Amino acid sequence: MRRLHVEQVLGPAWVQDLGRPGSMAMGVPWGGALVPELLMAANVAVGNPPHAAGIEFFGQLGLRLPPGLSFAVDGQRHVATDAPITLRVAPRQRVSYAAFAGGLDVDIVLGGRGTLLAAGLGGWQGRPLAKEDHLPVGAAARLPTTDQGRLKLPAVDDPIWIRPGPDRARCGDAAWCGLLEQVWAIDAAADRTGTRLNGQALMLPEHAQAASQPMVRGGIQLPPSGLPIVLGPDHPVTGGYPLIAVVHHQSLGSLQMRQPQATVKLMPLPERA
Amino acid sequence: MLPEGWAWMGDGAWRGPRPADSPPGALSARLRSHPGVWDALETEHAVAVYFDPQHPPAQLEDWLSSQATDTPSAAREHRLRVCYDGPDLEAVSQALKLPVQEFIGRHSQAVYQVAMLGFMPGFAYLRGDDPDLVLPRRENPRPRIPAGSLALGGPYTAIYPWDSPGGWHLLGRVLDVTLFDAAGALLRAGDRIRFEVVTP
Repeated sequence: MRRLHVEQVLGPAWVQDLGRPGSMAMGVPWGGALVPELLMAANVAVGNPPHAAGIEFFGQLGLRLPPGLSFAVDGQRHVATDAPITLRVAPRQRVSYAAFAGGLDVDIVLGGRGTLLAAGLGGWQGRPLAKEDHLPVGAAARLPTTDQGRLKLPAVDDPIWIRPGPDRARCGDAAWCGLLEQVWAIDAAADRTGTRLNGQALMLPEHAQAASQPMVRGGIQLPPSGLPIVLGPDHPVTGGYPLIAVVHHQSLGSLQMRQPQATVKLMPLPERA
Repeated sequence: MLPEGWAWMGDGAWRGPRPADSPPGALSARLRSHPGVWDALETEHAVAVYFDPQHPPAQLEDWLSSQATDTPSAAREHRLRVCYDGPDLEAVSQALKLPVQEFIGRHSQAVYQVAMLGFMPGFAYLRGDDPDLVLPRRENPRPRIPAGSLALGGPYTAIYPWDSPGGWHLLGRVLDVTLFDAAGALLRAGDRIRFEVVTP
């Protein structure tokens, strides 16, 4: 079995794939890459199926790879030599993805290979990567490597489209207008469960709270603080805060890849009929 | 067109009311079995269906109309050993105007059913058959509640599967139980739970 050796980790890094839908009834969020398009691009560049497991990293990663192994960061393909490599998150991004030809051959847990941090399961030993880890790389990929002609990659300054959420009416017009009018900033504490948007707090009617309801990735929750939270891939599956809006699935990657303090302007799409 | 009371939750999910007479877990399990459905989740009052945003399933109305035939899955029963030695035990008893021993007796003799799972992996909301054991959550959540804690929050009792922050009242500890592992959650919606008191 070929293995890659982790020699340095600055900022968190862990194994992710495209998620494990189907277990929400056990309290398990789908998980998967914060920016799925970037992991898919990296996989496609080395001939993997788009859902193969790779590394989601937020800082810098020092690795030693089997010589000759193809790897890619966010779609840029390289070939490993004897020398150790250092991967860095792309400029203006908060997160990048490394994929390796053959994919990371970690165990499938509940239908996915990604790290389920809340349960300490999946990925590599259920935890963030650390120095001295050596991850198994799967058999060589069989798909032809392609450029990503058809894959539209998100960018940090894309417009962010949202639709009214199921609780839009309960949140009142003032909150909805405030959500759209101002320019928000990504909170520094953003993580895989959610991203808070900082700005002028929105006014909520008093009775806006409700019993626990099913939540959705990309949902915009409005807690009593009036500062919206965009739910990430590891969001609690249920919650009592109203869903004022939901970020369009094709805009979510752009939002999740932004650095703390980056600005966010939300653009409304019509309600689906 | 969505059925009455249903709404889009983005482009890849719908949310609607959960029929009150539906056995816990039955509707979402059936919805999950349909092709084109990626996941389904119910809480006590709502149910959600998740799917590929490019291919919303067309038959939701038919699926919902056959809910009357949902039957409870064979009731699984768990007996869990509990040590009632939590830091909030006295405060909870006081708030409910019960002597501590009477509270322990009533809480441990009630029969519980898993109403739903949520919040985090393996976290089951247990609804008991003693209607008096209800208390709003603590005003100040604790930053860390140890895994295995038995807790009361609103009308529910729960066992924390993981160390986590939480605002529920801590009644004690459940002994020798793994609530979640690589095979999934021990407790499923509809399961019945009985507690056995273990003296500290």
